[in-house]
Amino acid sequence: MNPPRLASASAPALVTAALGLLLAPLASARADERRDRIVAAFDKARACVVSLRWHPKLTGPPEAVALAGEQERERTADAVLVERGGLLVAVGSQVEPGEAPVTRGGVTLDRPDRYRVKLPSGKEAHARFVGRDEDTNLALLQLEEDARVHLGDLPYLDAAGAAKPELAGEVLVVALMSAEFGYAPRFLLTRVNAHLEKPWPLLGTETPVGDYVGGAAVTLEGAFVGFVGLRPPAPAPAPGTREGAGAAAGRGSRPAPPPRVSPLPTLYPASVVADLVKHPPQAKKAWLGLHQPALQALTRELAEALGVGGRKGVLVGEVLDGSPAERGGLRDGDLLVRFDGKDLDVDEDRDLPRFLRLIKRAGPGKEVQLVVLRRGAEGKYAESTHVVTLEEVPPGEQEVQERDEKDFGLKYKELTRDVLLNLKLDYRTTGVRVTGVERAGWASLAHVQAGDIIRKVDDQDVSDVASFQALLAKARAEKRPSVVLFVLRGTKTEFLNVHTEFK
Amino acid sequence: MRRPFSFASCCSALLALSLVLLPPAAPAAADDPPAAGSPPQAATPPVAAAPAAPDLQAVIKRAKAKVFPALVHIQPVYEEYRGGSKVLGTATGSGVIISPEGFVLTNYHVAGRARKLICTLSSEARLSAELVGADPWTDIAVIRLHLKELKGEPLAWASLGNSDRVEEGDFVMAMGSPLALSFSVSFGVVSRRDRPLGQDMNIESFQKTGLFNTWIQTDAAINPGNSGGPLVNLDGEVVGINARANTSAEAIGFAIPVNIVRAVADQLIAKGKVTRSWIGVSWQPLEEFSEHFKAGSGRGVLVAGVVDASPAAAAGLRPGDVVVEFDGSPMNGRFKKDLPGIARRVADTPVGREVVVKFVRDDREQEARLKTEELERAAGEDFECKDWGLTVKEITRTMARELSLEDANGVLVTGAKAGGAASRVGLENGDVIRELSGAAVTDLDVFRHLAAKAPRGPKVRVLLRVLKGGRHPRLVLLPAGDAEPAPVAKETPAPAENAEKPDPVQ
Repeated sequence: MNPPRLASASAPALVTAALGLLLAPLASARADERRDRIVAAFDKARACVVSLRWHPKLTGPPEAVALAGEQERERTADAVLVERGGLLVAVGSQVEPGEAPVTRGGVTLDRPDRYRVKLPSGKEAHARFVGRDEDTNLALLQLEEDARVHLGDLPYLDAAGAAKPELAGEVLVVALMSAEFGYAPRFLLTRVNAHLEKPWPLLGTETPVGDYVGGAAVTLEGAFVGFVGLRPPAPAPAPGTREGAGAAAGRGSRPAPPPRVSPLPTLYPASVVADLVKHPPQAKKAWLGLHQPALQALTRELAEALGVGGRKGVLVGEVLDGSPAERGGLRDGDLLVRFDGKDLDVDEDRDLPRFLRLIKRAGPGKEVQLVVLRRGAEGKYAESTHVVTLEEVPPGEQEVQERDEKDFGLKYKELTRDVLLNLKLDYRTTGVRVTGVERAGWASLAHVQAGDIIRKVDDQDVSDVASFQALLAKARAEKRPSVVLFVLRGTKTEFLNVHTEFK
Repeated sequence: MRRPFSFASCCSALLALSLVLLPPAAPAAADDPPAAGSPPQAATPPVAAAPAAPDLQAVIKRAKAKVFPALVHIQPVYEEYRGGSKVLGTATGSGVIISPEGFVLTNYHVAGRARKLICTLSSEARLSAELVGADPWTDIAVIRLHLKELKGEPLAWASLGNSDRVEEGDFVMAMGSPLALSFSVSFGVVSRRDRPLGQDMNIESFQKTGLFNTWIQTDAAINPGNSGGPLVNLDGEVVGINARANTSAEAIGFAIPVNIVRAVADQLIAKGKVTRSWIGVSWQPLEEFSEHFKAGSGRGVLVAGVVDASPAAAAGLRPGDVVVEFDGSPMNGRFKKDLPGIARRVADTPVGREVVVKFVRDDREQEARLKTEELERAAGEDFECKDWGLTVKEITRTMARELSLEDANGVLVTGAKAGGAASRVGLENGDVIRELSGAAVTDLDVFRHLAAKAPRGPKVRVLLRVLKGGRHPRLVLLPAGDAEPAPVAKETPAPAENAEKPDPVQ
């Protein structure tokens, strides 16, 4: 028998049990308190997470638009109120079809003029698109003014006043569930596991936040931590690297499609959002008149070879004729070192897309100061300053609508600057570009080919789509038995006789 | 010869050509309606009445015997610029001896670029030959056998007929070395005496062919290797030089009419080249447009395009004009088959001659004066820059136009050898080098000179100003002659995804 041993053995257990009995209410009180904090933070965050709903804006032939309209379902995305003025931050690629509008079956999909916003209170309002930052893929929207007046002060997550969460600090990620669940808010409790600085500040989370895209993260105190965005994939290789150059060159070759890589759900710190709010991107993109294939980073080696060692910037191989840059006095071969008051820290071709986005983002109409190094008579580079007024990006091939000329069996488009550049034609070249011919149609029987540029109809100049349509309408009204087209095919011109059968 | 059935080795040149033919399904025939005004042959005697076969066989044998001994099997050895370096290549073609001096007719694409010519006669005697002259525009070359090597053996030669007298249905024989099977004869009829084959056939990069001639189409089998061989009529005369075939079809071969060949060969033998005039106009048949351009009675030919800064442009000619007279002789281009004749009419005018061109514009006949220029060589000369693993081509004015270059300055990159200095810095086919070490590269000679005196050695970089793809200006630092091996290791590493730099200007 060893009762003392038993006693001694069970003493700690007893103590623990006794302590447990004593502390149990305390622990449960702590758990309650923790739950309350989580719920409070959740409540605070969910008051600021809204749901956006919209139909993409469709343009194109009315029948096609009507057909597409029936097929286009309502789209939704989450957004977060981040400012007193009713500013909303959302994922750019979710609320906008892309950098350029998307065309499907002759119908162009674009973002709508206004988005419906469903607030957590159940009230609805409208918001308009402010702009999108291509680097971070963040978009800003703003509630319309009457909604702001009508709704009064709305809660928001203050990006400016946010603190950076510590490593291993707990954060609550809040987003809305799908329509099926009535857009009910829900949260995820996780910890910050990384502070990243590249490619721009980002927060890593212990648990993936893929199901919470468009939502907000707050601390357990309810302070704004960040926004769950979709980080765009790495930019395509710049031309000049082997792949890029091949795709850019070549007569009539289409520009290579952007690589299809899924963007990554990532937590952006509030500071990135604050920066976006402070410098909102423009909805309309600005254009200087430089195009990427003719740009080159001033690498360390190149700078030394040119006798401007230590400088960084962009070597402008070609300034497009008739562009803002040309009017501002930029010349082929200039080394651009400062843009809009900022030194360009570009010394690798990979930096170029970001440089171009910097221009786009500045917004059309803005006057910017450019500092360039220009080669003088003795081959020495000297600095000069130029003031250029940015313009709106001219529409590209992808953005102009394809027209269908049913009688002639001919599809065509306005001649855009990017096409002229690809074909190495003067930017002032006028005409319309044939994008397709119907098999055995009038145009096809006359050997009209896709890619032909129609310059004249019955000896009358075609200046644009409107004049082409007018000339064909005239032929139709007069029921002409044949219409003579003057086309540019490659580097050669040719007449084509289209036999018509107007009724 | 070791692999007689390999297309690539025996007749890569002809194969390449045959690819430019219209695909079988293309409505080529619809473009060129049969000549109006040539009435159907009247009163053909019924063939079935008499057993003609023995006679025909005898006729064929006689005709064959007149040309067969003059057949030549040609194996050219030529230089090719491929993949950034100069390599030697060989092929097989055919030819026919046309004179006791040992002149042999063949195709430009057989012998035109040959550095060495190995010939076999029907007697199986082998001897070498030299290039006398070659004309890519008509795909004709004349070579001359080194008769001394024959050691007194007798030489046979064939006589040339009159291709204007050839008619559809005429019996013809094609002789030559199809697929390198030397001294083969095939037999058929003339399928079409004056087939136009379009104006966009290239015989090599930048060099068009077939602009000045129509073609005798025949169903006598013509295969790769037959190139340069004679098409022979039943009188035993050469009526054409076989040049191309549609390899995706059967029995569709084409020969250059011998009257064209004769004129070209005479010039080649006399002065080693063919001189032609150029005015800078591309023509279109008038037929479809005669009403539109109010050109009555089918007289004239339509101007489809005028080259900038050409004699025609200087004279004020423009697309839509209908030219009715050139240097005193009428210009009638009603159909596609008439265009080679129109082109020849201009080409045959002496170079530098002041001519009067009469044309109809706005329903009114007008006159312009212009001075013809010499038709220049279309394709530039090639050059290999071995140190840099680079081949370049001289840029002619024709090339500059086709490449939409502002001017003919610079040299065109035609290849960069994998792992060589040029390819490592991304130079590739289609780039134009405009400046080397700060000096303008105005032409190939300047490039040769500058490249030769450019500094070399490890760590040395030569600065090139390049038009990427002939378009986008770019500076390139070429590692000039650095002797470091292991080109693979030297290749720029693929940019790592995470190595992106934060936006420097944010």
